[in-house]
Amino acid sequence: MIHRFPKVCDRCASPGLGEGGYALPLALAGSLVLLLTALSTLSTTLHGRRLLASERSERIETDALASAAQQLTAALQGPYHCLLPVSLDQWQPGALPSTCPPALDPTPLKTSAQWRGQVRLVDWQPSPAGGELRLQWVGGSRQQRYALTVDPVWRLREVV
Amino acid sequence: MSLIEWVMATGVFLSAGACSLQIWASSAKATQQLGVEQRLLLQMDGQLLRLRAHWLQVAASQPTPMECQAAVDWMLQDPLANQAPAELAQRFSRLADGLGMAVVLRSEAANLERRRLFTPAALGLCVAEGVG
Repeated sequence: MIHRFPKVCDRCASPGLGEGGYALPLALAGSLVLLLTALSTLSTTLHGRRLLASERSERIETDALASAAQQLTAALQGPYHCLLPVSLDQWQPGALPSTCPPALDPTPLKTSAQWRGQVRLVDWQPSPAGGELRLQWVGGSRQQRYALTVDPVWRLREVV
Repeated sequence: MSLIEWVMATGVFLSAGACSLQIWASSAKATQQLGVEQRLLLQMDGQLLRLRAHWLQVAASQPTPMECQAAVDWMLQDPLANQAPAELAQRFSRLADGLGMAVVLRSEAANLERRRLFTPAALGLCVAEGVG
């Protein structure tokens, strides 16, 4: 025995609407996929741009630190040569070694103005071979160490 | 299916497609520019390393170090150091204290500039007067 349910509405059963109705949801779904893919590409590009900006800043800091180290070496070989065997905490006017000229002020060596920023001398530890410089980018936490050897020739190298 | 539904679906899809296309195009352009900038940054790194290595090599091969001012003069005129990659403009200038020089590398294409100082004292090219 076959039971037949009563029709709720006559128009619903008409072939025109019963087969249709998929175009708009399909278009919406397709559009969503397209937009999400494009937005994902855009976000990758923006991330890449942020990374590059960070790399550029890092290079500026590296250049400033390396430049300051080169200048400090020239100063220690030149007019501030008497400071070479003395650690940084002893670089105080009035407490300098007797080999230093009386008017010598080591303060300018402690901060160095570089292109787009400043570099601070955090530490200088002399050693029999020369010594080690530690420099810091002012306004950031980045520090870099440089080893200075004075024998047989003066040479500065970055400590990794 | 009604004609209105088809028209609406087509309209929505075309709008989304056009919008996505624009985003893709701008992303592709930006990605290409990023690639160029990245390459130039690496070229600048390479050039700075090359300069330093060249001067260290000269210092290692010279029998006696020069006087520091003379060494800066020599570095500024050094023909091998004056060669830079085609995409970079390189400029040397003497520092005010005369004890070193600044190397400026610039790329107009990516609006990139780097500046690094070199002193002959740190490269082993010279010894200041009175220093053994």
